[in-house]
Amino acid sequence: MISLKSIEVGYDTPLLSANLSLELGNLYALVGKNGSGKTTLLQSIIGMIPSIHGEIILDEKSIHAMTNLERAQKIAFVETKFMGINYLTGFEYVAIGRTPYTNALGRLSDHDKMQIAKSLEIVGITYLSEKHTTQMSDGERQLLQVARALAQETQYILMDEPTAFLDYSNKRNLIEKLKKIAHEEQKCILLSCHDLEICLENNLSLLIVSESEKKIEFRNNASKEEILQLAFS
Amino acid sequence: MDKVTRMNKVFHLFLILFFATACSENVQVPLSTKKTTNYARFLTIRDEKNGVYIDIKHPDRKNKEYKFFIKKDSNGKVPNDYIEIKRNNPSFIVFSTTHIAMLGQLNQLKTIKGTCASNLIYTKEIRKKIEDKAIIDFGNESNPSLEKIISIKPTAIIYSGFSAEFSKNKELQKLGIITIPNFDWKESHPLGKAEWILFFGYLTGTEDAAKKHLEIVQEEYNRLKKSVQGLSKRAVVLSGSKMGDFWYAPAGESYMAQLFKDAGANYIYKNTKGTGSLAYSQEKILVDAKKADFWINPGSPSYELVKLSNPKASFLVPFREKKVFCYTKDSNKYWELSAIHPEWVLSDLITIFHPSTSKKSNLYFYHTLD
Amino acid sequence: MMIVHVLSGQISLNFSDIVSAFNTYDATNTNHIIFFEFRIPRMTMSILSGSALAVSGMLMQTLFNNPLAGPYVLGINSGASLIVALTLLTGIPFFTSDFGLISGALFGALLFGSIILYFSFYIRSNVSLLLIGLMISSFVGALITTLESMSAAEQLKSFTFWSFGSLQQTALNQLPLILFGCIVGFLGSFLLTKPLNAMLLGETSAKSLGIHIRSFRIWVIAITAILTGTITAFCGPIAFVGLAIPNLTRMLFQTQNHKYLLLGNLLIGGIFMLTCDTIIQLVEPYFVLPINAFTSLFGAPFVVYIVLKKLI
Repeated sequence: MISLKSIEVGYDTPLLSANLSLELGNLYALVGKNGSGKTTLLQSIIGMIPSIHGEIILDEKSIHAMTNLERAQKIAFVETKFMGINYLTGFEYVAIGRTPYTNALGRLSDHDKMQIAKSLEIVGITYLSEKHTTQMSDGERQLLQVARALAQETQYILMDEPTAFLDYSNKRNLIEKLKKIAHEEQKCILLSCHDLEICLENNLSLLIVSESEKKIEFRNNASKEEILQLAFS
Repeated sequence: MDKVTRMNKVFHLFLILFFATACSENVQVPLSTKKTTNYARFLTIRDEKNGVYIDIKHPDRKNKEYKFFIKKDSNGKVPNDYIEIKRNNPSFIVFSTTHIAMLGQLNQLKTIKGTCASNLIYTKEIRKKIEDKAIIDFGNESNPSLEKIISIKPTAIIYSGFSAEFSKNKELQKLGIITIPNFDWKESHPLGKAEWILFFGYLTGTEDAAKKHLEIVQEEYNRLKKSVQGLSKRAVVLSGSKMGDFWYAPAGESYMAQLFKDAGANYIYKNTKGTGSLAYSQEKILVDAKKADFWINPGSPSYELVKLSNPKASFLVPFREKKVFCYTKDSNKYWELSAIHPEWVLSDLITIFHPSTSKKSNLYFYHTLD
Repeated sequence: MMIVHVLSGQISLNFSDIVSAFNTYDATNTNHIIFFEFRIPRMTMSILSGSALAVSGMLMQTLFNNPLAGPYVLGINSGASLIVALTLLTGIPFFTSDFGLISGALFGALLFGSIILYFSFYIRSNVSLLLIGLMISSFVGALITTLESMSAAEQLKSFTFWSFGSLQQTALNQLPLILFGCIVGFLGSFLLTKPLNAMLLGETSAKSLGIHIRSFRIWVIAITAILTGTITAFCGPIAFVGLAIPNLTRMLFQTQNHKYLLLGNLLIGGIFMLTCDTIIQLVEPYFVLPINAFTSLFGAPFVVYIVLKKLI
């Protein structure tokens, strides 16, 4: 469970505040205007940026009391876009997700290899193993990022606007897959998103950045109008 | 024959006809009669009735010649293609220290109004004058200040000609300042180098003193040379130094090779062609210098410094046996005076190579390394 | 390749020379001296300099996530040059000793590595960082020129020739020290392969994978400084190898896994310099070809090729 205990995040002045908990087995979508502080919140949770006020508790331990390695074994983070790297294959890319578990030289054990294969299989992209990342489509690369996060074997996965650069069918495909993974693998996935329709279609739990109060409101079965009113008016 | 050259020929013919009819005096260039230079390859001076013809050949560019003329009769005419040098109250800017030595030998230091960088100059009088601001230090000849040149307005600028032409040639021509290259440094015979003093002699009207000096130098040089010709034991000599990854040694027809030969030594590259430098790998030097007795001109004044710039010099026999000689204790003295005193250089080398036969023990330029 | 290199040169050696040099070394036998004091150090330095500079380049390129980074471009070489210029041109005896020279070059490489590192904490754009590196290089270049114009001819000469770069300056008894520096650097790089691989995904992702970015950067700069500093002290600033070889290695090995890239750079860097120097040895009797000019002759067109192929 991630608990955000009356936190305020931002660089110098608080951008937004939050007071809520996220549970395993759920896919959460963070919705809000551009510049409302969604990415800042995500980066605060993974410990890249210190929060201004309050505490972020990860399974009873404060996120700032953890070492980089401990945190890396709890939360995986997926950036908006992966551009692909010359000569790097799908397998090698997903293997980098094993970094928190391998020895000093980064040698992959049989267990590591099994986890990588399993991650690729869960996302359904085993066929991308030998393909070079620069030769994949945007949709394929986004799924590959999910597989990499799964290979990191964390309970929590944070994703910064993973649907931003995808076409409609790829967006739907990705969200559906993530929802399924959250349920079946008992993970807590939090993603920021601008695609309201897809979020609503899939009945996601919504974290809405309220425009008036600069505060995150939790909604489980909100209507589109309500969300628009809350976040964008 | 293309059109342009035909036009030129016609123009030339016209000029000759014009002068032949217009002038009372015959100013056709006489074919060498009174040549005063014997060893110099790039300087020819002919002392004729009507005036002095100074022809300077460019060492590297075949057809390039610089021609100067000094009138003997103020009413006389300057021959075609020649530039007149007036020698009443001459003043010069000189860009090499050998020029200073030559003018100094002729007692004409007073004609110098500007020089090359003062830290290269040996003659104390000139250095003092630079300090007193009586002479201007122009640095090197690649880019002298035009304003300062104009402030002096010398008769001529004498330069070494490392690059093609003097940098401000066109502007200076307009101002009536003559620029004359001095290729003494390209001469491969030591006596040829010395002969350039004649050039300064004629320029300052002291040609008799110049000839007298040359006579003494040549006599002494030839006497020294003769004194070692009969010797059966010839020292084996290595010369040059390593710069970067290559060893640069004087070629078989160069100035140094000539001196080694005249000093009765057996220079290891005496049979190579060319007057410049040879670039060899250090390994080749090691093999070729296996039997070397002496190493001349390592370019540094001490064994320590030689080793610093070339750690592998210690494998050379003369280095191990401490038989390395150089002029670097006072490089300025060597560069300034060696051109007018080749007999001193020869004397030094003979003293080094044949210590038993040479009566003299003091050296003019050379010393063993520290 | 090594055998070809050892056997080529203006003086021809044959196998029997080498065998006898090994069996009974004769200090007065010229061929033995050539083999042990000339060919062996030269060959070893070719391999070591190529490998060390290629590995340095690889480290820099991954650290800055830019295929055009390299010790030369980022001013690390220039830093070493500056300190060597200061030591050689001032002519203080301690500094002109082997130890002084190597520690000077090391210090210069570390100092300027830290300067570029300091900027890298504040500047995210790689283009700006490269620009700063180039600015540092030209700034240092100007400082060196100023120093040169103020120093005596003798000191100036030794610095000028040092700056030409040379694989032949090293003596047999200096090899252990250089070998030690290089091995430390290579082992250090080997221990960094895991964070290097994670760094491929960028800093944020690498950090979320548990990499301690700050200490990683410090280690990379330190190892680069050791490798570049050691080689620069003895061979002078050799250009382009550090930039071109890591790119060539990626293209040839078709991998981004730093374990293979490291081995590839060691191998290809060594082979590249060995080949360059063998060619130089072969043409020695005909014309003069300094190693630095030769690597640039190869390196410059190669960079153009990278740009044209849009590998950036």
